[in-house]
Amino acid sequence: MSKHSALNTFGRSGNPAFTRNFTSNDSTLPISERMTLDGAVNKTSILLALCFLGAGVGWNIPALAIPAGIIGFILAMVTIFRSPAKAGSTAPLYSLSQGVMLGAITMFAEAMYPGIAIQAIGLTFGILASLLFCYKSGIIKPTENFRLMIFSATAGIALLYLISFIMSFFGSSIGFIHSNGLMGIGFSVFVVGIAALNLVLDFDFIEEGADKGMPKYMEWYGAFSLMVTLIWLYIEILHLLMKLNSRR
Amino acid sequence: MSWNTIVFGGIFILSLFIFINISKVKASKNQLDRPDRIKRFRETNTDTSEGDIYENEDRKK
Repeated sequence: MSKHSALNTFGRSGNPAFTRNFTSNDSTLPISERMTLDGAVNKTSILLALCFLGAGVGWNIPALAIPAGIIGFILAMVTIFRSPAKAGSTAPLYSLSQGVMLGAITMFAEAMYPGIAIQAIGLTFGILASLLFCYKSGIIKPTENFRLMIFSATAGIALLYLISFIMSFFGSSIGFIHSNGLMGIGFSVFVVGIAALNLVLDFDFIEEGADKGMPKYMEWYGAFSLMVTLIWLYIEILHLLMKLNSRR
Repeated sequence: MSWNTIVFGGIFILSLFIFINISKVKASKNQLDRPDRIKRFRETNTDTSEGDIYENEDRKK
């Protein structure tokens, strides 16, 4: 059996947004239509601004949280599995709707534990900047094994959350996921770590895409992928901080 | 304004500034010129994915 059979079975990325195979057209595309680092960063900035705008709406109208979350989920699925080339139109809508959901969640968390929102935002962006520095300087080097490890861990966490979600319909749940005991906090720290390491794969995806001269729409797709990870990381950090605060 | 807001707000603003500026800089050679770098993108003139190529190489061995 090939040592790379796991790669063929599970795909080649931790982030589901990167499991598709993309084709490089660098020999046929004019330079102006190729992906660049600047373009991807500018688009990420636009998506971040839209997310904050949505958060402002969600903070003031928390009733929109559930519809916005569902719309965001559908848009993410469409972008990943149906039309990555249309990320330019779906990614801004995804960021806006997820922003509304995050704004509402944050408002509730802030009402329970004042000061928690700015801590979660500061920590999320602090991790983003630190890992970006580690990636750019070569301190963290993503390899195929690294990606497989992150993918396996991410898939395991997703499966655990799915089982917990299904169990919640029957009035039960996996206790330690939401508990504020040592096990629950340890689990949250682990999930935050995995979400953070997914950022490294996102940086590498954008860097390689720009390097290989991928089509321009990949700037939006790379920015979208970064947003998916950032939003997940923010939610997990908020969850961890809530557990820590509830112990006081 | 509380210390909590000043400290974490400061981290947020500084990190955002670092992100926007460092992101636009190409990664170091140390990072880019590695034999074990992840290769995600296929060229247009090949009809096999990288996984298949690895498989074929393994079979030859």
